[in-house]
Amino acid sequence: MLFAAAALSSTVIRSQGNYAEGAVKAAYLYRFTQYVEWPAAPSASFTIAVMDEPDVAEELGKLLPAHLIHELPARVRAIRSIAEVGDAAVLYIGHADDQRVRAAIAAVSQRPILIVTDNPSGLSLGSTINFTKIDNHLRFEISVSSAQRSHMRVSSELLNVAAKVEAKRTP
Amino acid sequence: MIRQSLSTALMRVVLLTTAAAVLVAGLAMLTRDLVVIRQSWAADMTNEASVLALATGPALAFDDKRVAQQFLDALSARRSILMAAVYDNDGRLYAAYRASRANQPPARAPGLERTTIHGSRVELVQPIVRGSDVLGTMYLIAQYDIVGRIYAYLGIFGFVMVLSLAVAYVFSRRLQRGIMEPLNSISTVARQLVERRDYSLRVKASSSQEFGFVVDALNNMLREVQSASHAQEEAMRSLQEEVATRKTAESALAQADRRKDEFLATLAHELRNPLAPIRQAIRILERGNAGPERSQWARQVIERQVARMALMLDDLLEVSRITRGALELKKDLVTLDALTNAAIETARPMIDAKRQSLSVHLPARAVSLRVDPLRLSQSISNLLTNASKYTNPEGSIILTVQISPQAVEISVQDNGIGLEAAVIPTLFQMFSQVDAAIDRTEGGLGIGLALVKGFVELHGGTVQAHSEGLGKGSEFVIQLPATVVVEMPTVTAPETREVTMPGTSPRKVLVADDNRDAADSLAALLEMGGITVSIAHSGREAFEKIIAEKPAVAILDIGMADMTGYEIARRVRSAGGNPIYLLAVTGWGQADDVARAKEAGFDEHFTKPVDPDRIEALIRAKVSVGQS
Repeated sequence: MLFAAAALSSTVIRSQGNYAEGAVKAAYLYRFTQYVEWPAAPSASFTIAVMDEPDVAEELGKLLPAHLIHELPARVRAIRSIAEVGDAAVLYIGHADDQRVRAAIAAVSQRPILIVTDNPSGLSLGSTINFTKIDNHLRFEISVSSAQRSHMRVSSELLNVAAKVEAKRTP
Repeated sequence: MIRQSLSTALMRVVLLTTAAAVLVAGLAMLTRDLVVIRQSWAADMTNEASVLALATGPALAFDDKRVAQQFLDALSARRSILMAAVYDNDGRLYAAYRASRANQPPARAPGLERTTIHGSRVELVQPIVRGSDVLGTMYLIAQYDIVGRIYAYLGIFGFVMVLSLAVAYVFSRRLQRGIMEPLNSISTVARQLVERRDYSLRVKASSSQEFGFVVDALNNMLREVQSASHAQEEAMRSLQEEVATRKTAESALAQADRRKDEFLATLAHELRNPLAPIRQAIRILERGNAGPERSQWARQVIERQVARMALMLDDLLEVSRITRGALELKKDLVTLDALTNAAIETARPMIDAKRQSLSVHLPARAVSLRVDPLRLSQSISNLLTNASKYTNPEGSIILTVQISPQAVEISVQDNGIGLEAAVIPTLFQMFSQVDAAIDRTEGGLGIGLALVKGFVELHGGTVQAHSEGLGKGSEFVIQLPATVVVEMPTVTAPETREVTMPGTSPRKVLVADDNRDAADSLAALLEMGGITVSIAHSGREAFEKIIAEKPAVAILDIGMADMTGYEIARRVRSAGGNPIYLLAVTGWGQADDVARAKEAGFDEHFTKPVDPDRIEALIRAKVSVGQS
């Protein structure tokens, strides 16, 4: 399994160069789970819901079966509406307009769901982690207040490598 | 080999032991420290790597080189780390830090997980893992300062060593004082013993128990040796004394023996000497043609020579008695005058022959002595004869008698040849002659002075010789105890001196001998001396005459055929009431003969040939002085 993970990592870890952006995002989504603590562990399986970006869902579908997340079998669920989020612990909202993102976040903001977005104003829309591009590198920014709102704790190691950390709730 | 002082050796041992202990302990600590420190370095590096892995893990996970580099650059604070490199999951160098003295990190990951230690250099390769995912590889090289550490250790060791040696030195000094002081006093005594052999030395007592035992043992041994050596010295000394005594005795014996031999030779010579003139005189008398003058001369020769022989034999007998302790004095009262006169009469012929002068000094008052008249007068005459002999013709001799409350002193002085101081102590020894040559010409056996000494000592007196040296004359002094003096009544006329003995006929002497010539010649001699003599030619006749005539003195031959002298004496004594003076005359002069005569009742014992002069002197002494 270690070998498989190494092989997988070697294909997905690179955020630059010739790797597909979807694959990098999928790998990052998987790794975020290792630096975030949920208030209560999910019961049977660990589900990552992907809305509006089928590439990422597809990459995660390749990646996750070989891994356990928080010692639970991991699954990906591609959804088209926020209503389908179900018991997912991670919600990734892909390239959507601000309105749709805001609505989706509002629907789950009180639940212990790690919300990851890819929107230039993702954090201000209420997302906890938001992908961003710096020097053509895929980076991310974190909102600590959003994590608190969702009753989650983000590891300082993750904060350390974040491109930007917002400590306070955005008004 | 250099004999090292024990204290130095002891000090050396203590210091060496201390140094060795410190060194061994130090080396052990250093070794242990090097092992432990390397392990701790390895652990240190592992921790460092783990922290780095944790820190750089997210950077690798989210491909953040900047963060990774930040973490690695933070290692510059760690001086021991030479190089740190992070490789990505494909083994490519992702981020690196190196100290200025270090090499470039390799471009590819150096392999599997490992930790290697080469001396002070630690290399570590460790995977960077998150959960079950391997994110990359961490490669660390550290160089620890082991030399500095060893130097630090050496510094500490040096300090500890100096301190330990100082402490050891101080303690060793104190220890030594406890050990060395008794040891020193023992060794001092031992050295003195060897040098002086003085076993009275003792070792000072020690406070330490072990040394106390040693010291006590040594002192006891010394005591033993001392007493043993004392005893040995004592034994040696007494042995030496004994040897010396024996040697003296031996040489005295040898000397006595030699003197005896000389004496015997002299005796034979002296006894032979008179024989020649006697024989020749007899030849002259035998020849009918000798005229009356010549015959008279011949008889005088014989007379002189016989007298001389008889004198010698008498002396010999007396000497024999003295040496055997068998001489008994016949003490009697005698006046000093009679004593000295008898002595002078005996010595007179010789003194006159040498035309020497004799002056006599006697105390003014009349004195009687209770002595043996014969022996004492012979002693004085011997001294006079001796003085005459060793004094040149026409010399002078002085006889002095002094009576003090303490002693009677009879001195004979001459101006003769004198005496060497050395010979004085031997003068009175038996058979001694000062100068054999003189004695030979003068005749004599060399026993005269010995006789004097014997006689005088029997009287409880002493005789001494004095001389200021050769040619200075000499003086012989007889000292008798004052107890011999018997004071006489101051008024004593010469007539009253001839007191008749009660119950005896005055001046009457009986001579009895069955040898008619002997009896008659002795009687004739005595009569010529003015003594009334009666003669008996047999024992029986003698006894009858004693009873009938009551003579004052009877001279009896022992060996008479019909009645021996012993028997006559016994009968006379047993008849009692007769104070007659009995004289025995025999040819035997042995001690038992004398004893037998005494036992039979004789007063005096004479050995033939009897010197008529002596008998006459005795008779005069007996008859002229009464026994009141």
